[in-house]
Amino acid sequence: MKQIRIFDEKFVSLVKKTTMNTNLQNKGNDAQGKPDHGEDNEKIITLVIVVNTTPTTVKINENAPLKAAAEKALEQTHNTGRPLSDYELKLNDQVLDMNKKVKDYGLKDGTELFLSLKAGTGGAN
Amino acid sequence: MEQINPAIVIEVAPAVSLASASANLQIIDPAVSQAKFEEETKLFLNSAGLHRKRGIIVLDCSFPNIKLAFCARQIIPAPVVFAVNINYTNYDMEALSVKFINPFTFELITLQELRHNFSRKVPIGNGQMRRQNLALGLPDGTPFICLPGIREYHKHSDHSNDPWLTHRGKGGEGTLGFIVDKLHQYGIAAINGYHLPLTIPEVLLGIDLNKLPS
Repeated sequence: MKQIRIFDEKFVSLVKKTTMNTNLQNKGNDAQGKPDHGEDNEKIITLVIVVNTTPTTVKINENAPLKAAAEKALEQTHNTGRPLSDYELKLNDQVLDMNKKVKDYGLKDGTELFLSLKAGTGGAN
Repeated sequence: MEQINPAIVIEVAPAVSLASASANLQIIDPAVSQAKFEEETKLFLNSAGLHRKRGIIVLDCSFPNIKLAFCARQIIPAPVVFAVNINYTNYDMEALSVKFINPFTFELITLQELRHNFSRKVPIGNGQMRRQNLALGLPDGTPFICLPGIREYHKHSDHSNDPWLTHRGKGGEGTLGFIVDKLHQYGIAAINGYHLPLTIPEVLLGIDLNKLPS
């Protein structure tokens, strides 16, 4: 009985080591974006972008930068003639960095974003 | 003396200056302004539910005016902070006119009655910001928002070097959507509560009536 228990412990240890190595290898594959993990990279989400109070729906890959979604929204609402840098994209009145990816802000399907043309110089000095 | 041939005399109508035209005098084809009014208000009213959720309520809409109330729905009780009449007369040869009104009677109000500054932050260097008021008063006390894209800004003598026609049709500047967005951005979005300015009452000594000498 005692010999059998020793064998069991060695066997369990061997199985643990093998499992760890396999997990490490899988993690490495993930980092390299192997095709068998490609589903995550292709996730498309639908955003509602309100351009100067006109809402429009934009489908976008969550790995794309927000500026791609903003440009689509401007095109769809025929707001041309001004560069994207003249606009601000907001979520709940907080200005978003349009160079960041859609997924960086954890945006979900149907999230409402507000794209506004910045106001020119005015007001009291 | 040279005689004028009556056959070639042309009657010249008195020149009508856009700058001098009254806000209520339609000097371009009304069909143009009305078509633009219908196009922009239809777009806006199609998403009236979305605007209402932000605190923007349509009070009335008939050419050439759309009247809107702006509420700070983020605080309780939610106040009607201000209301405006946006006028499409001569649009878009002229910019839209934005006037502040009483939300219940639709009468024009004064800057003093508005009681709201419409502030924004402007950089002053070294990473420092200062607060700038956008709601200013005309000599007659009428409040207006001092921003390009709004008729009262372009007609103001201080902005004669920044005509509306250089802004018209560029990225939606000066459209109903743009103006509503700016009124919400500078007039509503930053409100976070009620501010009750309290003055410290005069400190008085306590008196025991029983110990008062006769």
